[in-house]
Amino acid sequence: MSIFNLEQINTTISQLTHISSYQLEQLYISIGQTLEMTFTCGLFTLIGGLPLAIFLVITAPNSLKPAPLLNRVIGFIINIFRSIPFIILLVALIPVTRFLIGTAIGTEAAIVPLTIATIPYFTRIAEVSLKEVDHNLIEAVKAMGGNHITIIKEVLLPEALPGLISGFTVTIILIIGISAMAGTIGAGGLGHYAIQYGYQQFRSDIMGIVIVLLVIIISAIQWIGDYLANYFNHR
Amino acid sequence: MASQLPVIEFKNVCRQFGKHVVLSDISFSIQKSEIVGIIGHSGAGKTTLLRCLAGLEKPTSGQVLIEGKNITNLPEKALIPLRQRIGLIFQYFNLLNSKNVLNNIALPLKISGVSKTERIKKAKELLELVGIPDKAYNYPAQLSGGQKQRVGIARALAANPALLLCDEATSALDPETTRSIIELLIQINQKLKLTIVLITHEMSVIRLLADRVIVLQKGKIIEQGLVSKVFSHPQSETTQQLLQEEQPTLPDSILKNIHKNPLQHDHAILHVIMMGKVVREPLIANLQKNYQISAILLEGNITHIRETPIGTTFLAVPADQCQQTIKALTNMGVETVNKVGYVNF
Repeated sequence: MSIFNLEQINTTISQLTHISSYQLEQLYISIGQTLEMTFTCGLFTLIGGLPLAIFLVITAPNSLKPAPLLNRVIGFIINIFRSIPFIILLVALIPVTRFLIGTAIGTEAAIVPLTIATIPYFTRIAEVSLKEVDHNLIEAVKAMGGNHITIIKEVLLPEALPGLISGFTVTIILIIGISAMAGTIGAGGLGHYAIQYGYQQFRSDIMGIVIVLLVIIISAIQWIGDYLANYFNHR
Repeated sequence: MASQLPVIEFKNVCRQFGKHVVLSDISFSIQKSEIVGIIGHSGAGKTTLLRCLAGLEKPTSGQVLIEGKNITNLPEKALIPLRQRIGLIFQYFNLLNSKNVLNNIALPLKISGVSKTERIKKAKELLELVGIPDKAYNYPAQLSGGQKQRVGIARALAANPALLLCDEATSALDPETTRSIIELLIQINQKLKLTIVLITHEMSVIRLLADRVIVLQKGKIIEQGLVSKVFSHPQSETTQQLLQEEQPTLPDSILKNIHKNPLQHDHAILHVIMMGKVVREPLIANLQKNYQISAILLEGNITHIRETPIGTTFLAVPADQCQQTIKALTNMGVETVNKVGYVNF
């Protein structure tokens, strides 16, 4: 007899909280969906947003490779995407989502609009951290004979790392927040669960449990983010 | 012979930003293992000159030659290996906070493609040379200003540069640390036969460290030569001004009573500049003993340019013995004696 008998635990929770085992099962699925959306979207945001931020920083006037026009155009596009409310983006991007992954509903489908909404957000946050790197350090490495790639690899990214980690933590938490809206296109998740089983069924106990769960998840992410940012901060 | 080529040569270098001329017609050359100081007021073009030296900035016209190679018209890519021939140290050290001391020093080697074991070995040797071998695994934030500059120097030396360029390298340090860094630089210059160029506004640093000095004013070289010559006999007003802060001057209480023509019982004030052996002689006692002149010491100091002592004093002697004193001092080997005026105590 294992002490980690899941069914046994479920039954115990059900009895204690008056939540049916079906609702409990749905809760587990929702947690999984929220985590899936958050981390997949987080990964793509990092892959898309960080190079974009580096691009914006090095093409800025007086930077490594100034390209003022291109810099302004990209900056403007980012501003457009940051201006559109997520709930509108979610619906507006349905054709794109369908083109990319074959369907417009479900957890995977929600990752497309989520990523497109958070990339511009993270880009701006990362841009601030990268811009704060002391220009004299860049000059120093340039004087050593470092090329642009060296400067990005040895100066910009490592020096900005603590700020980038903090910024990414904020972005991840933002994804958890806006993923609640993804329920609109059948993505599920904790936010949707709270509306369906908590709000619409007048179960404030379920609502409470969801909120407590979100507090735990968000605190954990924030704690990990702070820990890592601190670990890499040698100032 | 290649070693006879100057390490750095500027030929009629001009640099303009728009219509603003920052450097105009700068020509000089620096030989191997020389230590050259470049001084000037802020805005004289020191920083631009340094950036041209480091290959970070291109002159508008004229040529910059590094070890005989003209770098003026080279594309950015070709400049990269030449920049590695020049080690730079900075006022605020510019160490990477994200790397430990060893990796900071090894960075120039990493850039030039040296293997990891090689560069760590070299970095450790350099750390030994600059005298902080126990700080290898510390991060810059854990070091004092002097230690940071030592790391900066080690990093600048990593790629075996032909030239060490110091940009106000001691200006952010306290006097004691400044002295220890100067000693380190002299030691490196002697040990490695390394050419050093210092850009600074601190005359004391030039005095202690440099062989030659170049004085800049409004983008032009207005004076250059051996430090002992230029500092003891500054020709231009700018050099005199720059040296002023270090030179003793008469106190205001005396200055306001000075008059041109002698009255009865007046004293003449003489400004006496001497260098070398004469400084080590009992000047006032000799005046008394050999010429029966009672001189009063009003103000004075002795500084050193490398090994040479330079004394600057203000003496007061009875007005009627003024000419006699000037003659006597000249006989003793004093460089210059100027009559400032007369004063009644």
